Amino acid sequence: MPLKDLPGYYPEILEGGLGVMPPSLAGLFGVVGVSQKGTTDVKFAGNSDDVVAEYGLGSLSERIFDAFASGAWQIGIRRALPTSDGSPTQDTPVTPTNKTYGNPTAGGLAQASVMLHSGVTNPYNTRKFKIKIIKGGGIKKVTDPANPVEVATYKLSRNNGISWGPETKFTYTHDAGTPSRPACSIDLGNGTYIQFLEDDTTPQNSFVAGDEYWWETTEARANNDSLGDAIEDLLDWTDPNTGQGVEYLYVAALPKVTQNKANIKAFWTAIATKVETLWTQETRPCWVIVDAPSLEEADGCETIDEWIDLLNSVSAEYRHVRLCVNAGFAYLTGAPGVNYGSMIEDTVQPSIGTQPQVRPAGGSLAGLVAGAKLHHSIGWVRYMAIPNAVAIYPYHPPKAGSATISIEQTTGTFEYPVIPWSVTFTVDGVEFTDGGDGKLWTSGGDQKGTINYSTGAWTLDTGPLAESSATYQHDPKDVMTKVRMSLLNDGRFTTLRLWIGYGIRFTDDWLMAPPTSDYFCIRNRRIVDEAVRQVGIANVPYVNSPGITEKDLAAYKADLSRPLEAMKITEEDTDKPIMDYVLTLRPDANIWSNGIMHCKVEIVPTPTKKKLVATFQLRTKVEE
Amino acid sequence: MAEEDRYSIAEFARRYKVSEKELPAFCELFGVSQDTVLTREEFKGMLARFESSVGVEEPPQPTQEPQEEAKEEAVPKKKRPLAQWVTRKITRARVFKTAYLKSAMNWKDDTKLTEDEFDNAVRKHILNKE
Repeated sequence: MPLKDLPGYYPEILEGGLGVMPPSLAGLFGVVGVSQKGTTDVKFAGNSDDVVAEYGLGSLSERIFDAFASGAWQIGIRRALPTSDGSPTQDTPVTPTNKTYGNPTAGGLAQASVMLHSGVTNPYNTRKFKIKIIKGGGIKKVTDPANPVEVATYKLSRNNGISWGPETKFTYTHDAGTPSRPACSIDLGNGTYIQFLEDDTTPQNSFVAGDEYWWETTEARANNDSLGDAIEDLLDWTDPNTGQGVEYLYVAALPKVTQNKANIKAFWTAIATKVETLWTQETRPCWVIVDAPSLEEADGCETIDEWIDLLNSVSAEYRHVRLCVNAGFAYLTGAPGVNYGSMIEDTVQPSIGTQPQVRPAGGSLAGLVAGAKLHHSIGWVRYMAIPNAVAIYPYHPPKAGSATISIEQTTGTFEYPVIPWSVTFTVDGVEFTDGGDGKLWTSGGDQKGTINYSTGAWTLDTGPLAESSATYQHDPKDVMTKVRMSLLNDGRFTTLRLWIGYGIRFTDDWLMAPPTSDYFCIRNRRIVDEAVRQVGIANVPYVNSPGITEKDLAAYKADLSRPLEAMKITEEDTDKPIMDYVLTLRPDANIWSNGIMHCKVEIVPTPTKKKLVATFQLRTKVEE
Repeated sequence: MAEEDRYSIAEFARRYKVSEKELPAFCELFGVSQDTVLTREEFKGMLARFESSVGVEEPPQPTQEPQEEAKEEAVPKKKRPLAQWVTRKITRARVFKTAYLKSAMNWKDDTKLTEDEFDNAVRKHILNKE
């Protein structure tokens, strides 16, 4: 047999026949995120408890919890080291904003500060907290008839007032302050606690019913250096047994940069370039999920429409067939930390049933993909439930408003509904603020007008002598309507949708691919990637074989076809990824020296029925 | 190729007047040692790339011995292509970080940069110090 005849030789395709199928790691994915502790080696976990044990509470554990809740079975984790502190720190406690209900001079006198527990370097997660005083009083009960002190009660919200815990008494935990007085420290479950000191002269006035305390804790963040290291480490990871890497990666953190068009685009580009390099240089197919910045994070965005415009302006400039950008945000229940009681000395933790939070649904997306068959859309309404999703966000984000008050104007209306504690009139140089009770107060406690939060109607007792101004916030009742979702869909973002009778589902499984790309959906990406991967693995037994000759090329091709044959629908089973395929092998002109076999896989995927082609090289010889 | 036309890098460097000071940078750029043997054509190709990558925008060397201070000032202003700075200064996650810099700064692999320009971009976009 003349060797020179081999290149260009095309045998007829044979049946796959009996044989051992190559192992598949389809559905195995990795997550990169930021946590306060844990190894920076790639580590795999099979349940949320293991993740919390290793990495502690925080955004990484929350996203992984979402993934497990949605069907993930094993996740590779690479922790990115945080590089900039959150708030509070050990040296700089946070003083909550005391929103006095009504007359500002009659507010609660308790001193409050939010601190980190000893040994904790940063809050575990970013949270917006609120405490609402239900019953006024102090911290320690005093039965002295002359100066009785009743114990005050409160409700705590860990999600900016979306939901509230049960009414709880301020529990005396220790004495603190100068002079020493009763204190109550409440463990907030994320490495921080809030300490209230009873007022030393009039303890009964420490808390006033209706008052609220607002504050925020922020977790530490990673920079691009740290995130880049983690992303590349996880993408470069290969299973020591099979040599395969993860099928896809979920990047569950954004770098601490201004989330503007240039920076968002640069981040997507950097991730996609790494994934593309894996394919072009190592023939390792992979794809990546990344979360879009939230409305709050997005630079210069106040409304949902501005946020959508920003995201679409990025997608208009950058697309990639291996990138999935999740713009779905949801109110998700059950993150780790639900049932972790206070184990910190001298603190109490109010019992709370759940700790739902608004966060990106990227973890749910990654989990659904892991559990789905290659050709099943994660938007399949019947089967692709997101068990812990309660509501789609953004939902009713507040919007800033302003008005000019004319000379002697005493009545007017704002856009409504107005958000309590957000109104400030500046009348002839004097500020009147609303006290959450529908009245406008000076800092000295004089009432100067009213505001009706429901209707936006306001009154001033006396009109200004010169043109004045007012600022406020209102609820524009913005929600993620179908129109807005379709705008994001046009930008190829993955979004969420509510289906009456079923619940919240992903709209579909879009990739951030160019408009005319064959890889517009995750299904096509996964099917072709799996085919390429499996053919590559089927080729492995032939590495360093004596040589593929015309005589055994047919058998070689049959071996390589076996996984494709297994992916193909049959009369008995139509629930399979591909309808048909063609595998073409063309030995390189120098195959006897370089061992290269040119391979072309043409596939007709079951869901989209559009022929997809992947061309790559197989090696039958170890390179130097 | 005639057998006698293959020499070590060090030998070619001597023949093509690559100074001893430049030789380490030359070897680092191409990942070779001074003992690496190669053909004349290969060396000439490498030399052309080396010359295009360094010193192109440098001012001409004065004929007189320059002051010591002037020498020290000239070093950080030397322009090199982005790819070369990346090879020299970024040790991990090069693909990600290079792609980020290229997108954020609108650079290309062959964009010529001074060390300060490169360091400032890394500080801002990779280390996020600003």
